[in-house]
Amino acid sequence: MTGDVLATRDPAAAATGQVPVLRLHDVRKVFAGHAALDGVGLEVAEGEVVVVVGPSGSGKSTLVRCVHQLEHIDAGAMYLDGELLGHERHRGGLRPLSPRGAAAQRRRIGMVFQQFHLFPHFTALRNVTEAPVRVHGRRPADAEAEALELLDRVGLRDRAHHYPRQLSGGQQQRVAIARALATRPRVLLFDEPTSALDPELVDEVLAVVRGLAGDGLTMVVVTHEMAFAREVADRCVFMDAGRVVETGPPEEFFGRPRSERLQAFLSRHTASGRSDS
Amino acid sequence: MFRGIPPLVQLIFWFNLAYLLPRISIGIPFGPALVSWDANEVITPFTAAVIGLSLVESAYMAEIIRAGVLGVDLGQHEAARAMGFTPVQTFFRIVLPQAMRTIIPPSGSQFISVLKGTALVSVIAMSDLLHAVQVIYNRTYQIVPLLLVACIWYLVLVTLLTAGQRRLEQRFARGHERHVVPGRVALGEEAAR
Ligand SMILES: Nc1ncnc2c1ncn2[C@@H]1O[C@H](COP(=O)(O)OP(=O)(O)O)[C@@H](O)[C@H]1O
Ligand SMILES: [Mg+2]
Repeated sequence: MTGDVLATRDPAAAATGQVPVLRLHDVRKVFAGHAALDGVGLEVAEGEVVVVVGPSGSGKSTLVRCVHQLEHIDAGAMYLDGELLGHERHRGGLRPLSPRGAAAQRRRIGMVFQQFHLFPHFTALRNVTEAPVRVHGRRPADAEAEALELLDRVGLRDRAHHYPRQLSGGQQQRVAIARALATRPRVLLFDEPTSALDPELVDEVLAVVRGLAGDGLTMVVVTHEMAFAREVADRCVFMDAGRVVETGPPEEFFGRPRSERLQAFLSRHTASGRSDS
Repeated sequence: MFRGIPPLVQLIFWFNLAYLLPRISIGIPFGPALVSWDANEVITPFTAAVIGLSLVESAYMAEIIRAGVLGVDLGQHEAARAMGFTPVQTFFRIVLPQAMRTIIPPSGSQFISVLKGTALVSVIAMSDLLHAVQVIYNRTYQIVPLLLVACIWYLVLVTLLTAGQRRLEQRFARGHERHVVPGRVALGEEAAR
């Protein structure tokens, strides 16, 4: 970022004519002197499923949290559909977006958390309709009809009027996915969606994510499920110590890893099958 | 500070404010006073009671509300923000309703203790329930029967407040009981049709 620091449009996209849904350029995030993200670049094209793997503490969560502006980046730039995230033009310079401006950008990005974070005082249905109605101004009846369809898509239409506490972890995470879909995000971010689940509940959630990938949604999925990663990914990304170490299509990534670190990581994680941290 | 001083002392202090500040005025600081009152007229037993009791209570209530809001999981804030809620929407739609669950029980107790605290104001010659009873038994000498009457009245009021509190607690406990509430499911099925 030298000549283009003041641009709110993605300069790379302008040059090539190709606008990726999401592009990260040299993103840095420092926590108390420790770089959780140390110059990360990433590009996600329309309809692409990018799976991010890496050891615990390598910065995967920080990456998706930065894209979602739950953390402020310290350097670099992020673009959604070619539009700069987190800053706006102001009197010939750039300034951080107001909380409202940031909220407006977040509405175009969906997020599924490791710990679900459903709203416990709302039913499953209300969890799904709340943002479309309150944030996007949809008519409650329309939002509800659509929410029931989404709950159907994750196999939980019959649980629409249950509260989160009355649902299993796997069911809660599926409601959380429906909730994230309800705002029709341009890109859906998953941060280890199955790591908080009992092993027997993992598959029902993965099946839903697999279905979404089949439907052509643009997604970034952080996961420790290697078999799943290999199956759904269009492209895999390996992170270590805040950097993207290796990236490639799943066959090469898992079949012929180039870097030593990825080889070591894969031998640890595929030998034992499922593993998480 | 208002929590550190016994309420009775504060009441007497506010009632006797006139010794400290003979006149109370509203005006431009270090400039002319716009309006000004004689403190002895303004600080009636009633205003002293309102000021004294509310300062003590608001200090406790602020602490209760703060604890309730801080008790809501950070993930709830993040999930709401992630969905595009503004900070104000996040607070009123997501955080406060969940905080209410922990705010109501101690608030109820506070409310009831204010009611009981009103008995204190009898010492500054205000006609609360206890003061009225004292006036009567000083005249009729039926001390114990009249104190019993006062007790019954306090009990009735406290019982009513407690019942109100229970209802509020149930309302904000929604989603925190494990079983399905039949009424709501029936309602929901109707909506689904
Ligand atoms: N809020 C935070 N404050 C301080 N350090 C943090 C914070 N969040 C993450 N980190 C640090 O950043 C690094 C990356 O963390 P994280 O993104 O959670 O890794 P991963 O999700 O890959 O396990 C870790 O060293 C972690 O300790
Ligand atoms: Mg993580």
